[in-house]
Amino acid sequence: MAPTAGDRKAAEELKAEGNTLFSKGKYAAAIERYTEAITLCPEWAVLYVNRGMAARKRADWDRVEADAGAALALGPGVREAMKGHYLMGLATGARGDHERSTQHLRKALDAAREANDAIKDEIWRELATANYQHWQAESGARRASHAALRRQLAELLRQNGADLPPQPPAQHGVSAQPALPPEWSALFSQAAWQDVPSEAPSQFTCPLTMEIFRDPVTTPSGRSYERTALLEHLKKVGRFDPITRQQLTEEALVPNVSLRAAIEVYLEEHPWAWGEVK
Amino acid sequence: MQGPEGHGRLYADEVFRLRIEFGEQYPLDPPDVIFLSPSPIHPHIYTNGHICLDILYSGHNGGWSPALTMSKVVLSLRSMLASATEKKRPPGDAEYCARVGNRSPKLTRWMFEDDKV
Repeated sequence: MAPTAGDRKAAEELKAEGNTLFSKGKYAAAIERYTEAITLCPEWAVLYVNRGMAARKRADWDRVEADAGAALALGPGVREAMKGHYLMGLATGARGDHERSTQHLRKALDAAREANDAIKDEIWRELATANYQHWQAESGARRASHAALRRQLAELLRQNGADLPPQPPAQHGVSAQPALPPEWSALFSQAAWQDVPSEAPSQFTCPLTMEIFRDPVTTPSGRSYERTALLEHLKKVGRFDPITRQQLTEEALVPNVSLRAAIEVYLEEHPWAWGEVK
Repeated sequence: MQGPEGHGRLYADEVFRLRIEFGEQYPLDPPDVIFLSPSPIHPHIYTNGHICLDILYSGHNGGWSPALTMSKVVLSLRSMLASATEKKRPPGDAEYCARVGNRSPKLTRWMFEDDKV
């Protein structure tokens, strides 16, 4: 049954009250108002998003996940979809489902960039954290599986009468990895290579922040800088390009979309680097 | 820092020590850079270690940029020493040191109109 005009009006008032309570930090009371509004207008996606946002503040992740799911199922507009995916990403991440978490946060980020919503920086940080945790879990599992393979291989080689290097002594009560002939060892280090953190290439880092770019902008000189750092520079240090010292104003800045895309490919291939951008 | 070879080799056999202090606002604000005693005897370096070099200061006539790294700063200092033709202190050195004492060189109103040594 579709809500009447009176129901809709009452729901709008309850939503406004809920928003006021939310901004005052009274999340439980806000949740009550949104819940009342939902009973009147159960197909209004914003209400689920707002209730989910309030539940997030209380770290009630089951509630967050249920509301985000309800909002997304209603086929909401861009902003509601953005927040729905964002909340879903946080909730799934909170219960350790990093894979789904990163998928939802990625959708939320794309929507926030499309809408140029200020929330995009916050979503980016959450996405970086989720990706980093995902990598930590996966690389831990890979290490364990490599260690098991090493032991199996050492055992097989020994049974075949191969001449193995001497077993290194246990350290801190933990027995060391079984020693393997150098060519096998090299193969294992090669397999582990993608999980070994190193330094990100300098063309992917901002010359001001020294960190991997999140939102690079290009100046007329062709140099790129992290947007927030460069804007602060223009405001506080002077209206010039930090490297070339040519005169520069904010209007002349262009987002460097290609560099951003290249960095995202780099991060996919070097997931440990997410730890540096979160 | 090792004194540069330079054409005059004025500082070639000397080693100088710098004190570089990074504030909360670095790199938007330049770090405080001074020579520790004994500072090089140079027309742009005061006895108290204060250095008259535009890139060390921000503001309307300063030359600081947040893109400058410490290796570029030290390179500029070495180049400043290398281009010196005479070992002498800036004019008014004694008065300046007596006036500013140990306060930060950033509080001084520097004039950088002199490009040559």
